[in-house]
Amino acid sequence: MEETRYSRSLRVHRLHFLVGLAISLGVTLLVASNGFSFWIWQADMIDQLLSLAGVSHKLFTLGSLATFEVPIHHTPISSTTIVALVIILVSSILIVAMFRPIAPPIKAIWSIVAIAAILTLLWQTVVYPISSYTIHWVTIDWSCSGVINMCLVSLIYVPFLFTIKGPLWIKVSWLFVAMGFSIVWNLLRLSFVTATLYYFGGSVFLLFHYMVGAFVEFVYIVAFYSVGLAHLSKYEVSGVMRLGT
Amino acid sequence: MGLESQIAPLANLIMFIILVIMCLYIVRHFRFFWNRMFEDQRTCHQELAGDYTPSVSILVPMHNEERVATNILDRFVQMDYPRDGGKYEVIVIDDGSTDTTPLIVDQYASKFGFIKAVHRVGNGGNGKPEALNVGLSVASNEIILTFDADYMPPCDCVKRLVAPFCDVEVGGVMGRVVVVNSPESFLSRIVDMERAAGYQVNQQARFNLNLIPQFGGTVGGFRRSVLKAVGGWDETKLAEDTDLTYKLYLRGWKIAYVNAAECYEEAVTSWDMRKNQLRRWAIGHDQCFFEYFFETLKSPLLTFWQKVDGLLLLGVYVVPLLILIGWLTGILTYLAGAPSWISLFPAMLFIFSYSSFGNFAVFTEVGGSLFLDQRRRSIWLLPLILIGFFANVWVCSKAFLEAVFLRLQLFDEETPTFLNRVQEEGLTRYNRDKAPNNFHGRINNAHRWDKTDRSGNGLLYYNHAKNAEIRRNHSKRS
Repeated sequence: MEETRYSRSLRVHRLHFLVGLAISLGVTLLVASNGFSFWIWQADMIDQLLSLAGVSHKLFTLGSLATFEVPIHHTPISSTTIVALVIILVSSILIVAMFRPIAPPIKAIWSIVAIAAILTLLWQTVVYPISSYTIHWVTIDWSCSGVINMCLVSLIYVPFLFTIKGPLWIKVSWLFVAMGFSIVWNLLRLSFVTATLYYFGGSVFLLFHYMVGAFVEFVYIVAFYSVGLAHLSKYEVSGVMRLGT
Repeated sequence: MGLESQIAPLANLIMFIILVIMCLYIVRHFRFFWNRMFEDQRTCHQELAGDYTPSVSILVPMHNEERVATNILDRFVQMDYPRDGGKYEVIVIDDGSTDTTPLIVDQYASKFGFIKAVHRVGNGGNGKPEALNVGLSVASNEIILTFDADYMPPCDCVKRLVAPFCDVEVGGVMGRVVVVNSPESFLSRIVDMERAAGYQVNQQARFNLNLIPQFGGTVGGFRRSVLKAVGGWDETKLAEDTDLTYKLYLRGWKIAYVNAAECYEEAVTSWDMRKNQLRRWAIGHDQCFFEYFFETLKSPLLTFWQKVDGLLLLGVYVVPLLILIGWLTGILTYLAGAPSWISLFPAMLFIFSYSSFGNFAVFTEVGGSLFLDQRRRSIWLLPLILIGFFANVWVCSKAFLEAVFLRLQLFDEETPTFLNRVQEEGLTRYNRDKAPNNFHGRINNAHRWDKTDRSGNGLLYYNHAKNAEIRRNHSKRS
C-alpha cells in the first residue's frame, strides 16, 4: 500500500477520452459552421441589454452578419494633461512598489494596469494621435463574440478531466456547465465593454477589453475544472481506500 | 504613422518570440502532468530502503535556531537507521548563533556520540553554503545529507534517501518537501499548492522521463566524493542547490528524486516573508542561468531532452518577466493592429488559449498533485494560484534585474555584501521570532512521528498535532 501511495499513477480512461474528443470536435464544428448565427443571436441579446442600460447604439444585421456601431465623442487631451497623467501613473507605480504593507500581487496588478494605461495614453496621443471629432462610430463585430471560448473549454477539459477515472456524467456535466457559463459571461462582457466604450471612450475600452478578458476567462475555466476534478476525486478516494483495506 | 510603423513590427516580433518560448513551457507543464498521472512511475530502488545502508553524515546548519533545534535533533536521535561502526553521524554546524542554540547543540552532542557539534564563533554567520562546507570538511562518511533546522523528517526519511545510491550513476538525491501548516494563512495555502505541484508532479515527472530533477537545498544529499570533486557548495551563489544540480549533471552524474522520502516544513505565512524568500531564490537561480546556459547547451554528456529541460529549468524564474513583457507587447500589438496571421482560426485559438490558461499552465500540475494526494477540498482553491502568480511576476521581474546588475557588477556594495544581505532577508527563520504563534511552539512531541495517512497531506499531520494539544490541555483542566 505504501509504495502504491507514493508511486501510484492512474490509467487513462480511453472510452471517456474518446467521448470527450467527440464532444469537443462536435463543438468545434458547431462553432465553425454556426458561428455567425450564434453571433446574430448574441448581438440580439446584447442589443436588448444595451437598450435597457440606455446606451446609444445601432445594430446592423445583413444576412449572416451583424455589426454594432456605437457613437463616441473624442476630444484630444492637452499635452499638459497627458504629462500630468503619465507622471501621476508613474509615481503611483513607485509609491505602491515602495509601500511595504501592500502585498506583492496587488503591486503587480496595479503596475500592469498602470503601465497598460500609460502605453494606451501615449499611443493615442503621441504615436498615433486621434484627431478631434464630435462623433465617431466604433464597430463591434463577430470577432468580439468570444464564441471561441467554447473550443478553449473543451481543449482543457477533454485531456485533463475526461482521461481521469470517474463517472462520465460528472465530466460531461461540468464541461457543459463551463460552456454554458462561457456563453452567459460573453454576453455580459460584451454588453459591459460596449457600455464602457460609450461612456468612457476608446482608451478605457481597450484596457478593459484586452486586460480583463483573459484573466476572467482563466478564473472561470479553471474554477469549473477544479470543481469537476474535486468531484472526481471523491470517487478516486473511495477507490483507493478500498485498495488499502 | 511613422512611429507606429516602427513600433508595430518590433512589438509583433517580441510577442512572437515570447509566444514560442512560452509554448515550450506550456507543453512541458502538460507533459509532466500527463506523465505523473498516467505513466509508469520510477521509485528509485525504494525496495532496498533499510537493506542498503551506506555510511551517512547529516549536515544541519543552524543560526539562531533555538526554537526548532530540539525538534530536529530529537528526530535524528530517533531516526530509524543503523548506528554501528559510526555509519550514522549528525553534524550540527552552529553558525555564529547568538541565542541558546550552542547550548542545545552541546547538550545533544554530549549525550549522543553520533551527534557532533561544530561551533563557528567569530567567523560564522556568512550564510548556509559556507556553513555546509565547514560541515563537509568534518564529515567522514560516504553519503552527505543536508537538512534545514526547521524541517521535520519522519523516521524513515534517511533510509529512503540513501537507497538510490546503490546505483553508481547517482551522485545526488532529493526528497519531497511537504508543507505542514497549510491552514495557517491564505498565503501558506498557496505555497502549499505550489510545493505539492513542484514535487509530486514536476520533480517526479522529470525523474521518470530521465530529465533533470533538481536538488532543492534540503532533504537531499550527495556522495561525499562527488561533493569534493565539484568543490562543495558555491559560496558566491544564492541558489547553491541549483548550482550543485548543474555541476553534477554537466559532469555526468545523475540526481534521483525520491517521492517517498517526505519531510515536513513550515511554509511562509506573510507576503513580506514570501517576497524575501522568492527574491533570494530568483536571484540565485538567475545567477545560475547566466553561468550555465551555454554550458548546458554545449554539454556532450546531456541528452537532447536533458538539454531542453535543463535550459527551461534555468529560465524558470525568468518566465514571469517574459509573461509581463508578453502582455505589454500584446497591448502594443492590439493598439497598432494585429498582423494578418493572427486572424487565422488556428492562430486565434492558440493566442486565446495562451492568454486565458497558457500563462498559467502550471495549474494542471497543481490540480494533478492535489488529486494524487487526495486533497479534495484543496482542489477547489486552484484558481487562487493566479494570485501567487502575480506575486511571482512582481518579485521575479525585479530579481532578474538585480541578477543582471550583479552579473555586470553594477551595484555600489561589494558582491559578497549584497549576497549576504539578500540571504539574511530571504531566510524565513529569521522572521520566526517576530511571529509569536508559530507552529513549532505548539507541536506536541508525542505526535511528532505521526505520518500522514495520505501521501503528502501535511494538513492531516497538523491536525493530529493540534488535536493532541487540545486533548492534552483538556485533560490538564479536568
